[in-house]
Amino acid sequence: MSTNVTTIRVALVEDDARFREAFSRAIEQAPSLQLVGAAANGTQGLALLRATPPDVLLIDLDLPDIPGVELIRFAANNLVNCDVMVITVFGDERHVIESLEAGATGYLLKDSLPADFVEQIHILRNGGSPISPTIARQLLTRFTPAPQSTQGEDEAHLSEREASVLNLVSKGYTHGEIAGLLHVSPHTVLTYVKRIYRKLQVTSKAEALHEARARGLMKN
Amino acid sequence: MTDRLRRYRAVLIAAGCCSLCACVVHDEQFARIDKVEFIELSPAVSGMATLAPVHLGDLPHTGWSAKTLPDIIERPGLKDVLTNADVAQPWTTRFYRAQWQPVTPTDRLAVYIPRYYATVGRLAVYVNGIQVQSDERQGWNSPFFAHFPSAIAENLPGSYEIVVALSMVKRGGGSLSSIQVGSADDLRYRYGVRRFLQISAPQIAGASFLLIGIFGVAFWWSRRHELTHALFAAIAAANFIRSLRYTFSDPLILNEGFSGWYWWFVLNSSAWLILFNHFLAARINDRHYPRFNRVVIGVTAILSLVTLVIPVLGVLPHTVAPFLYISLYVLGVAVLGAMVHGAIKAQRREGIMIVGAMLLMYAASVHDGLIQNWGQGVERIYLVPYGSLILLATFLYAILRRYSAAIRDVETLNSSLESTLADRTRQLEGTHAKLREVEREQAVSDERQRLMREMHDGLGSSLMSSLVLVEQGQVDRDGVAQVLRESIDDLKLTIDSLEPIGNDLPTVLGMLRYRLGKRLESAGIKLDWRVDELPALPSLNPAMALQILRMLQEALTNILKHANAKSVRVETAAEKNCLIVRITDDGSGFDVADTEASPTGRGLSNMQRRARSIGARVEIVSSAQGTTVIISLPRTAMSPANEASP
Repeated sequence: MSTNVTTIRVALVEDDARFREAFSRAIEQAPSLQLVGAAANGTQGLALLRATPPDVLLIDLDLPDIPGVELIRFAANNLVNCDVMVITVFGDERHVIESLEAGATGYLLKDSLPADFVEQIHILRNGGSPISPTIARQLLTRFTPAPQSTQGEDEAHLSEREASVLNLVSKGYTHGEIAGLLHVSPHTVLTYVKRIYRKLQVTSKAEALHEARARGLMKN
Repeated sequence: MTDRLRRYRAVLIAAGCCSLCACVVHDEQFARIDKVEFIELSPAVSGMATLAPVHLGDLPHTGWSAKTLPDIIERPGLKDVLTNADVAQPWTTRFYRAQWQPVTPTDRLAVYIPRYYATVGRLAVYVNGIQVQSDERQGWNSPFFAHFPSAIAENLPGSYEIVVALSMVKRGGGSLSSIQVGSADDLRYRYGVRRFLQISAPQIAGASFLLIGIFGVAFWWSRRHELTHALFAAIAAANFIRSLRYTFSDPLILNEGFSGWYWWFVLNSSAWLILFNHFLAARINDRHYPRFNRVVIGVTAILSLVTLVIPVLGVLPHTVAPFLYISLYVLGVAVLGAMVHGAIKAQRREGIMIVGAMLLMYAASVHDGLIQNWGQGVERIYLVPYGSLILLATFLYAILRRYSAAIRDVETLNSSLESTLADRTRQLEGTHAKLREVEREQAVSDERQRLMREMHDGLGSSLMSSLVLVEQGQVDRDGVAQVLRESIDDLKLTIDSLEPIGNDLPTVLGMLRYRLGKRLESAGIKLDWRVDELPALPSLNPAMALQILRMLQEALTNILKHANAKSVRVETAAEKNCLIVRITDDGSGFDVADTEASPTGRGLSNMQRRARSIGARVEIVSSAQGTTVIISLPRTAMSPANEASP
């Protein structure tokens, strides 16, 4: 997949020791990946992120001390060029959407085979994001349909192309099939998804601001 | 109740006393002449018949007799009229002469006659042979007031000769009260008070009656079924007509045109008043006197007719007036009796007040009748206008009381309605809350049972069987991993079914592929995915989504395990009544009937069971070229029971 010769520096935050070990081993065994550190809780994780900013943060949401979302937000806002990938057991809508809103652009099922999981990191690093039909359906209802004239630049609305991608994903079509149907490369489809995730983060930030203003928490 | 009545009465009496005192206190600088010399000349001295001023020098020196005022000239009775005794000499003039010497010298002197009356005729007053003119227009009911001629006043002769000449048609009757002479200021004051009580106040009352009548009519017009208002308006109107007599000259003479009708109206207004008063009082007391009503209506009608016919017969009405009045008094007593009866039965304050007011009115009528028809108490003031005012005010009070009572009732009703409504709302809310609670419990219980079945049939049994295999050492590591992965896939599908997907069947199919696609792929089976846009499925809830997922999972698992297929096609279609999911493989096929009957075909019968539970239908067609599983989902929500029991 990747044409990059440089290795991808990965930080791991996972409180379950066995999974931490399994993930660490998988990363270490992949020649293209480099493990910069594996933290067992949020505090360690934050220290790790500050000390050695990684290219990819692999993080479990349920941490014993700090909510995983806090770390995701920290990484998305403070670390340049860091992709965040959430580890989730089921990839269920609530966990994933919450992470995407905080700034994650990928997620990984906990039971993924090591080979899959290395590939996912590469795809993410190359600008692509994974997505499930449920998440796609959720995003479709979440974003209001774009006004006729708007192109992909609009931050609050989906472009026509992005909406088509979500629609096809929700029906179960694979990236490859969607690429064929839309006459683009499979990689382009994955970058669409990542762009949609970014929009979700922006919109949710705007919504949060709006709500904060409405509650009088912030001055204009 | 009677205490209050007594209080009202006391207030009325006090008010009356005050006005009387006002007259009495100022009684200083005048003399009241009631001993006079008297002579009656008829036929007339020259000019008498035309009512021209009289030359007192022409009066005879002899033939005067002493008389005490007031002087009453009686009307001839019915018998006299019938015998036409007086017809030959219709006109007569009565002269009353008196000498008067002021006790103290006073600048301005005047003469004042509280009441004089001639049905047809006029009054002339002379002081020292010079006629004095009344300051104001005279009517039958007006008192007379005139200043002494200025020439005489300046001369101060010490003694004055006062002559009053009353010319009249004798059969019309007439009267003269005492003559009062003295200080012009004092007498003018007495004259003013009397004029007010005798003319202005009844005029004001008349105007009020008119206004109240208009108001009553307007009120009745807006609520025409309420006869009470019509009666009230009628009473006010009759009172107005009746009050006219105190202002306008009495046209008790046979006249053409309007005058005759006017007289008829004025005379009969009293009878109509009695009638209306009776009906209104009965209504207020909620009593009905059908037979008595007929009698009252009959008597009133007869009186009205008689008074209408009499002038036509050429009989002067005033000759029958006493009989008319007596009839009215009898009718009044009868009506009063009905009012007393009504008041006793109704036991209401209004009833008692009406009786009281009617008694006052009755007394006033008798009082006025005595003055007018029998020459009693000529100097007194007519009281019926005041009686009428009191009676009308009483009726007004009664009606207002009924109204405010009705409004109070409505308000009470409203507030009780409101509280009833609030009660009902509370009860309803309580019932709803209970119902919601029951529904919630039912839902929780349903969901618990569903999950129990899921766990039992799916995850639980997979884990159990793999546990047995592992314990017996019959499986290797890959085998265990395989079983566990399948269990996890089961679990994932269960969780997926709970995701919010907005009634979208394609998303359910998407979930299936997302979870199971890899397994087909790794088994080397090509997946031909043809899922199209479909209309929303309103009944698609998590339970239904899970059943659909399980049916599809079963179909795909069968293909993986038994079919030896190279490719699988999954396609959708929307038909008129249902949405279709079709799964076709190119595998070896099987005998559907045999498999469903055999114990190993539990998967197929499970599929049928799941389909039935959501009102769907499963059809399996298999041949050597492959197998097709068709799942039809009804587009409108259908009760599973209906489907299950054909």
